[in-house]
Amino acid sequence: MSLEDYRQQPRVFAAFALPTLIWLLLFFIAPLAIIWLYSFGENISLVEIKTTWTFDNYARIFQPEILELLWRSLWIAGIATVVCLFIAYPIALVIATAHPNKKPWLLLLIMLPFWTNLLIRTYALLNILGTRGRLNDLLRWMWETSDALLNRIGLGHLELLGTSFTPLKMLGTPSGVIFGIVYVSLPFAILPIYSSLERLDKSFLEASLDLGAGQWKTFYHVLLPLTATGVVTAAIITFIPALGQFLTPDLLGRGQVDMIANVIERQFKRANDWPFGSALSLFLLYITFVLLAIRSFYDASKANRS
Amino acid sequence: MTNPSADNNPKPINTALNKPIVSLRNIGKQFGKVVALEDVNIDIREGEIFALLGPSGCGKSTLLRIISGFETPTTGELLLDEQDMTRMPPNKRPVNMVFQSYAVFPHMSVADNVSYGLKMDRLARDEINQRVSTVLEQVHLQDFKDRMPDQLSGGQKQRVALARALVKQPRVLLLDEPLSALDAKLRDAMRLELVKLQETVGVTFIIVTHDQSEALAMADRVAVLESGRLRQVDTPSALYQKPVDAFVADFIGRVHTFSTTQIELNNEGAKIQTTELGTLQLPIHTLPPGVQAGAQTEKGAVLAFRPESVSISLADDTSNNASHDALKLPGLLGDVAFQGQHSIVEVTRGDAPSISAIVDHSALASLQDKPLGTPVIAHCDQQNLMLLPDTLK
Repeated sequence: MSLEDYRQQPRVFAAFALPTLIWLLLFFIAPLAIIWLYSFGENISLVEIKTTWTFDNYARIFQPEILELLWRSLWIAGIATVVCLFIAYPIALVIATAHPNKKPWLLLLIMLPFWTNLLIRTYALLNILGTRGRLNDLLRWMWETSDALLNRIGLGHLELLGTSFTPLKMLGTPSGVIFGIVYVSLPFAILPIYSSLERLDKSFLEASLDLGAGQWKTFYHVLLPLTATGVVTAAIITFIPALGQFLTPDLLGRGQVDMIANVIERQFKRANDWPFGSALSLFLLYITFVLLAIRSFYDASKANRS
Repeated sequence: MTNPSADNNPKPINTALNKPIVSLRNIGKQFGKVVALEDVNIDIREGEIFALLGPSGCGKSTLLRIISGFETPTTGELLLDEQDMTRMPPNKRPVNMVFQSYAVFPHMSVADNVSYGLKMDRLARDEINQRVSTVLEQVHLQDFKDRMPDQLSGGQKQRVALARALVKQPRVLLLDEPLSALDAKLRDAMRLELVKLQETVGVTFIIVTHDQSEALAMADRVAVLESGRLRQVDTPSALYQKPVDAFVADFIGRVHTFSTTQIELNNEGAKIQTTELGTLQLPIHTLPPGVQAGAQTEKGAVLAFRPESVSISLADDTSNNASHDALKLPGLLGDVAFQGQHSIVEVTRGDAPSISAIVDHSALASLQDKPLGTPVIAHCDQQNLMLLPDTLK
């Protein structure tokens, strides 16, 4: 009796698969279908929507304000993803090469933020990133110390650091939002890279060193290409949720760095324009599909080449 | 197993005069509290095929990694062409390695794999191309240069790994268990081919293996390691015929051992008392190192002989011409295993360990039609008896 035998038993298969199917149908396919219908609809009263198969809602996406918003969402998510990858790779490398006794603890540290509510973590970030927050406290202390030091050695009159400390403005700026997204996404970026590093046969690296490549060349010519799948997965797993981020731009952006999800939320609430909100939501989904399709083509072309 | 003493490999005579290319001096290596290598001294000569042989965990792979630069010895030094290389990083050593898993880069074509090391050395493109095609021809892969590694068989991947290392024209080529991942038939062919390749390119080969028949068949000289210590360095035939201790005798081929209780030297040689065989007088005038005259403790010395020095006669055969043999062990005829050129005959001796004898067909003739359990005598000539320090666990 093997684990695959249930395939030959239709009723057993059904018994196992049915709850999942019902769940998906009721809570995923059905709501998505409703949203899809709404996206072709019109408001006929405050609470009623009629599906008239109009494309107006989709056409409205292409007005300049919305396009600008989409563009901003794309580049904020893009920069956050790149920053994430640059931070995640070294961390994943450290964990993958750590002593086997220490690995579970290091992984635990990566997972730890998941056990704290996102809202609480984001409010904590508010406290850190604010104009009078802890980050600026640190920067102010550094400025004051260096300024005092410059005065001490007689360079004070040059005002090399400016006349007074200007706090770093993070909240309500794209940098603050990117910081928040990086912070939230980092574990998702680390884990796929870690797992591809973990699976890598270390003798590839030794072979490269043995053939005369230094550490950097080995990284560039062997380690990075052989863990590319992990990096691409990390990029996608970071970029797609980042694109639809709602809470981070809402709280850290202070309403001044809206991303697409904030506008969608507004359509469903304050603007009471469910059809347009639906069209925007689905448009976001289509962008995701395109990205995943590009990824599949990349994999397929790689498989073809070899 | 074939008898390696019959092997006549002429090369040791040629390489014996060569100067050492790799010298290991008092090499010791500890991993935490685990001692992997202890005071290993070996000189490997230019142009020879040298095998590091031992059971798993004996330290042979660690030794190879010390030569390649992936491990630094805790004590001692490594000389390459008389220059200290103990702490030189692997990418700066004129030594290349064929990994056990081959480690052929899966994202590069055969040609890219082979040219990788030359590109790292920033050689001119023309020279790279020329050297790559020469070496691919040597390993018979000239038609495969645009293939990706996952389109290659295990044997072909190994050739890529060989070509990739040889193209660098290393002073020494290191091979870590080169044949272990190949199937039996390919393994035999590759053995021969590796030896031929070494003769063509003339590079010193150091091969790590746990397979004694592989080491004996390929190497000019073999170092036998056990528990991080070097037991013996010798030519294959010397290892087989003159093992320094019971471990080497047992590891290189098969051996029957009998513990001794007392050894006395007298005018005719050595008088050896054993628990099982009684007292024997052997023409041994100097005791091997590690064996002392006098009462033997449990870990003293053993009397040993190999299955092929045993002959078998019927117990009731009065005309047997082996009556002057030093050793006569009565027993019962057991299983006869046909091996082609010879057969292995088992002689059971009640509770005592049974004796195997490797006999040829003419010797087998008298036993052919005898039923199992026929009383027989296993003989061994005194010159085939070895007195060895007991290093068996």
